[in-house]
Amino acid sequence: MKVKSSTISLCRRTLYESISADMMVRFVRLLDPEYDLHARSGIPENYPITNQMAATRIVQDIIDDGRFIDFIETLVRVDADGYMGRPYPIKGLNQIVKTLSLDGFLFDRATRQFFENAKERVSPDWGRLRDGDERQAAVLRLDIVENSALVKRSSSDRIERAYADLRAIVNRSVHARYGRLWLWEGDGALAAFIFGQKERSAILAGMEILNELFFYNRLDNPLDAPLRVRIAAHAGPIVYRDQPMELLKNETIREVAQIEARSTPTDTMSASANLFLSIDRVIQERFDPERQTGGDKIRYYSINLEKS
Amino acid sequence: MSVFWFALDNQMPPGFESAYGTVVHLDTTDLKNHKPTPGDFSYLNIAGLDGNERRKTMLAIRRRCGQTAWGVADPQGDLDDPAMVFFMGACDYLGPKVFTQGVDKARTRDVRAYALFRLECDDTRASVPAPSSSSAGADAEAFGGWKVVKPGVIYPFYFLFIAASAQMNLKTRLGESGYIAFRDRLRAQIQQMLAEADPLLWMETDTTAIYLIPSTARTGRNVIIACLRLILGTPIFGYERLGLPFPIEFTCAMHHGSTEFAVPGKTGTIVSDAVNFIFHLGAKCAQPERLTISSDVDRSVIPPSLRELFVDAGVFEGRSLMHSRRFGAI
Repeated sequence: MKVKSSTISLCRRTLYESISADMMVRFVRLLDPEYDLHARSGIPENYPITNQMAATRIVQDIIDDGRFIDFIETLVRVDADGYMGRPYPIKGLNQIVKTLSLDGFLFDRATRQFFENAKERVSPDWGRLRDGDERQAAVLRLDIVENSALVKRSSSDRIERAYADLRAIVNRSVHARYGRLWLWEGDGALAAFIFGQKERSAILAGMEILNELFFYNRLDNPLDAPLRVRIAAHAGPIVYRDQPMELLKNETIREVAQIEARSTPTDTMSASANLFLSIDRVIQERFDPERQTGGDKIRYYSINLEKS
Repeated sequence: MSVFWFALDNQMPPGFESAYGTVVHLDTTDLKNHKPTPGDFSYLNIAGLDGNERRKTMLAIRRRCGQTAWGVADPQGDLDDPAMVFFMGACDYLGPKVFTQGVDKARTRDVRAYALFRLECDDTRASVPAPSSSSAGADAEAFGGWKVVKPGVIYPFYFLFIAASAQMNLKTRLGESGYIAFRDRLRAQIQQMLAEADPLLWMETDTTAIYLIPSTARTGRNVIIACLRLILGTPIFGYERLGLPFPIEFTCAMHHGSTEFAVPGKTGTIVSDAVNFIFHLGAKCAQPERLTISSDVDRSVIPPSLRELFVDAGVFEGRSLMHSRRFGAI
């Protein structure tokens, strides 16, 4: 992530005007427990480091490590809640938040996290993940049912239009919940949710895609047959990789693909048990009772129309 | 007053021109640009039109002349059921016998009296007569915006009733300030969902709202789609957009009719059968998680692909109803 020099200066000043060098190091260690200011700056341990010097070194290090946004989030939490029972008001933090907003990040006060402003930029790493970062994530796998038959039956322009519409529906549902579309293959998609209420976002995005397709198939579908999908939602640890194909090696992503392929009926979303526990009851009630299918504990959501 | 005669040829009943005075002869293709003024009488001669053209031109004259008097001339008796033209809103039918026996001034007087009666009975009572209710859905003219709608004038509208409810009283559950915030969010979100139907929040009580929707085919179609989307998406809508930690239900009802327009907040003196009906329909008859539609809403505004979602719902206060099937029932 590229940080403007004015933001760097502002962050340095905020740090040395608000907290001591010792506390700066403690806050950095909340992100990187191995952080050693003396080692990083090359100053021997028996030499004192001034607040200004510490702030300069730390800001540079967190930028080099790609942790700038995480560090500002840490400072926001410390500023609001204190640290180990003591308050640490940080002067000028609001100014940094505003500056980051101008740089294309939205600050969500509910989760105290920064999100890439999707109106300006949508990058698969949310503008803040680095190759190799491990995070807890919720993932959504979507598969177009009978994709090959649809392609054979329909003219290319119609199939392109329908798939572009489907992609727009998926994009809208995923991006609106701070998710990212990591892969879009011929017959399906993979979306990830890492920030905010990720499990809830994955479930709601899947429900919305099915709801939207219900109307799309009746009102706008240019094909002779309805576009039908299977969706699976799952949660677990993910190691972020810049290469999309490397992402597929993650165990969580392999599992979600298995749930979709072997346990999900057509026009249905399945949610794995570990994801489902994080969802509020008001949404849980819209799912069928839990079933043991293909070795997975699954709950299903589908649109069941009342019998006439 | 002008009399317009739309036909492929100039064949008219004997005595027609002398009985009506000057008659303007026009081709049927001129119907698409026809703009009659109050008091004008327009006739469509369907001779020489095949079945499809006849249907299209009859719909066109109904659309263009819905607010004035119009009639159908059928010199060869092509229509199997002439009464249909009256059901469509016509005020006169010139059949084969009229073309042989001719038209006199007495008949002309009777037609004028009937046209006046018909337009007055059309629930409009306005200086500018409104189209009959049966023409509601076919009025495809663009809506000029709510600024051009004048208070005190009677217009045809779609009326949309929306009520939000939960298993327990929302105000009790949310508290006074929470309820006010909820209402503000709900109002904004519903307005956004109905945006493509050009809605106007017209009346509001604690738990219900009446929206006015312009009487055009486009807005009628869009409001039906928006309501069905709202009902299907209620769990997401309530939980995510309204921030409610408990389930909520929406009751939607739709009616078409005419009423005097008044700006929102100044509707206390409105006396209208249509407004009474939509309130009664929404409060007494419509069920949660369904869109209930009265028979005054032209069925043609329901997209054909969505008609399977609706079933007959009986009769209420003399009007037959249909409502949408519920989503989520197993």
